[in-house]
Amino acid sequence: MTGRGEPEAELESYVAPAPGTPPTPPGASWRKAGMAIGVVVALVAGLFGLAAVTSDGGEGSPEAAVQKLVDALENEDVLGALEALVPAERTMLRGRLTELGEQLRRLGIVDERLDLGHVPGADLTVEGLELQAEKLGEDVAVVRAGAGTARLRIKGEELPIGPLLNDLVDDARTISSPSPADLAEEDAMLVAVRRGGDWFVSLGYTVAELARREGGAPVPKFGRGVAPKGASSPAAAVRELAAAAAAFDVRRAVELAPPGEADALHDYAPLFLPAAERAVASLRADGVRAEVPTLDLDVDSAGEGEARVTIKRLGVNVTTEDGRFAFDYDGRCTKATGPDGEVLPQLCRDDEDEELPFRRAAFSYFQLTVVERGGDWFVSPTGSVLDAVLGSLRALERDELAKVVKESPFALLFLVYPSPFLLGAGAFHGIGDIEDEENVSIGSDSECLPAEVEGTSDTEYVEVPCPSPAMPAPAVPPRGVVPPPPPPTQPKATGLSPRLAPATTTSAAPYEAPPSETSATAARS
Amino acid sequence: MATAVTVAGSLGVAAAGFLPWSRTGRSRSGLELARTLHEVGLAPGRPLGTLLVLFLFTPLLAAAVWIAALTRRRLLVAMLGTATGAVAVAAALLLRTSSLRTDEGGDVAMAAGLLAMAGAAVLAFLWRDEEGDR
Repeated sequence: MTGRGEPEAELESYVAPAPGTPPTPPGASWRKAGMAIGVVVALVAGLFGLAAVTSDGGEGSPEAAVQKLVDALENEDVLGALEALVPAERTMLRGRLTELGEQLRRLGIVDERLDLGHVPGADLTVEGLELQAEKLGEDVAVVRAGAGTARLRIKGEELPIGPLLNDLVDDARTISSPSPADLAEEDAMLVAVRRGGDWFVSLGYTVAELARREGGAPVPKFGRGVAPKGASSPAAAVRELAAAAAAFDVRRAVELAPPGEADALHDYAPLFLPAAERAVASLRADGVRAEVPTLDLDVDSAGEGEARVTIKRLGVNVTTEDGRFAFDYDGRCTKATGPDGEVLPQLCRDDEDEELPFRRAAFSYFQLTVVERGGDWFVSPTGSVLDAVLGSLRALERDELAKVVKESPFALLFLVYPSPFLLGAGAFHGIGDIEDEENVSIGSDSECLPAEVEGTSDTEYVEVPCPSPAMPAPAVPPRGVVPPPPPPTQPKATGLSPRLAPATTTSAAPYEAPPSETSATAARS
Repeated sequence: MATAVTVAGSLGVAAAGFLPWSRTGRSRSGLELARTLHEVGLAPGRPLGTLLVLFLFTPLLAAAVWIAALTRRRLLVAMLGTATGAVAVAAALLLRTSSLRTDEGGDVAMAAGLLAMAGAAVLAFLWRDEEGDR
């Protein structure tokens, strides 16, 4: 191989060079052939490496992109599913999904069998799938299922249920599989977008398109929506978002959402902005004013082009025709003041309260994720919410979670969207003792209502366990106390992160307009 | 002999990249897995990201070892062989410590990588001795 021990055959075939030319050493032809092969292989390998490094993993058509996602889901392949998503969306999910799995394992909600390459116990089968693409714009297409069925088989005994839930799910084998769905009948659709010449599935565009269809709005002009406009620094981005919220400036809030991740928001914003701005004008005409007199921020780098901005101190004043409402957060405790000067009980970060261990976790929502795009900084709605959920999970301990879940399994739902609600509900100390003879009594079995549940055939009614004191779901404030505002239901529409909503509760009783309710109302309008 | 071992190890690493390394829903070869992880960005931090990129270029490195061996550049063979072997071993170790389900490709790459590194080490010693003699 190296020319030190050439075969005899080669020596025999050696031809003496013509006079005057330098002699060719034995084995030179083999070496030349080897070199040629090596160079060709090196070129091909180099090109392969370059293509792999520069590729985003997209597909050549919208249908192929959706098919890739379906294949990944069928194979329980989380990596493949992520690969099918548009890069800007997967960027926000990638590391966070891994940590989400780790935290859920740490807390005992799932067990070790759950990993990125395999989701045991759930087997999706899609048969006869025929996809049809309809272009909404040059780079946006709706992909519908023209035919095909999907069946989800649940193998209860294989589900990666962790020790925390084992006691609750006594017999996981009884979990039944839903009946097969006709994808064409269900009008199943996903939206694919083209980025860098390749097609990817976009969750953001899919949600926006579904909302547009539901609302009967026309197709927007893609690429001509609200242009993203960032800020000069991470802190400036959050300050400008707060200023936009105080000014009820929905357009500015949308501008501050990052390109890529919020492309769908920017494209579809013209469909709802006029109505939102009319609602804001109406609010202003009614004399509603808001201001953010205090906003102290702390910025931490969260990797290349990403930062976490922690709200150290926050003050929000809202003036309505009913008076002035104020919310203050001093980095440790929250305080809300109503128009008559009444002060709601404080909720503090380091409170030790066995009845509401999630309260501590809820403070992770006083943080926003900010990303850098093209030199400007934008507030990431997806990153902010996911990081807050992860922060909440990190703040919990397995033992305290187990205790709460034992009392009320439904408390687990608040891990998904705990913050504004818990900050609000938790503002009432001794929430389990709050009773009002005219309203629902927290923790009282007599007041629990059946809930409507969609069954396989008919609508079924099941008895929902009453919320325990540890489960702050239906918190109703005592009389004379103004409850904090509800969570903004459309954070994407406003660009306002739910973290900015200082407190909330769900109450059947009417209540006066609280701080930040106005901005949320404007957004909803 | 040491050159042959280094070249064989390097080519083994390149070949192992095409074997199944992990079952992530479906079976993925080492190169495919590295490409997916790189695309999806599931290698947090710069060292891991660099390792993935380097692994994608192991076929190129192996071809370079082959060419260096043909041109009898023993020091270059040793250096490139060490790099190829180290990348393969590091990638295989990374896979073993991850939560992904592993296939035989990683083990083959580990063995081939160690072979390449061993050959390269011998080559480096020989080269140093020769340099000393001169």
